[in-house]
Amino acid sequence: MTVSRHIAAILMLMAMAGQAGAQQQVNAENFDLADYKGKIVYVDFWASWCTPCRASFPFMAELADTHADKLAIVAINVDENLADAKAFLSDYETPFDIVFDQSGMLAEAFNVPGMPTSFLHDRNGELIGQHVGFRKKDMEAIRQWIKDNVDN
Amino acid sequence: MIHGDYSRHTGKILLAGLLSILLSGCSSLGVKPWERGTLARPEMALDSQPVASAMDDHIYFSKEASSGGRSFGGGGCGCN
Repeated sequence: MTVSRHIAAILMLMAMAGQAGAQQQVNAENFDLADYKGKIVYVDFWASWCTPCRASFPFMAELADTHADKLAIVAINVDENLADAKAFLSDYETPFDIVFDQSGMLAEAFNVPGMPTSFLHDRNGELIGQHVGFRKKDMEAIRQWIKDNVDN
Repeated sequence: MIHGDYSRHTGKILLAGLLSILLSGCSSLGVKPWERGTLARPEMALDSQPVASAMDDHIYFSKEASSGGRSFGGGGCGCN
């Protein structure tokens, strides 16, 4: 009895700790770039039907681990069907925030030129630049681009 | 006289209106990059069943002793 209670307590603690470290998933209406002020922000537009986006997810997870305190990563999903996005997300570790933009209002606001596109913002929310597409050979350049801005 | 001016004026306005419709009519067409989900579905591909169409091509080639005209190179010389 006591043992099972102990286990339950430990499990609860673990769940709480997990929640504290968990990244948030919000709808487009609740996304505000200003919430990330003080950090370099990497905003990435992705969709479940976008093949290069699959390659970009482990890469973004790696970025999130490398620059944990200084870089915020926001992955904005533009799937019309939320279930498609959820199915995609179940395949990956996502140690960063996810925004669901089913109506495309954020994509419209950012004027996304292609899929995927990432936008890098400085600590004041000013746009530094954008990167369209995601290829394996781009990874090193993006890594360096972010490192330069984070260390800056 | 006044009537004539008026109709000429209306004609010009109509022409300008028609032209502007013609010129801008297609400007809002097209799918935005983030709206290509449906287009990206496999059944939306031009050749959604490559194996089936390759077999069709093979049968056509065997029967007609000609190839090409679909999606691969080569003329109808029957030499490939």
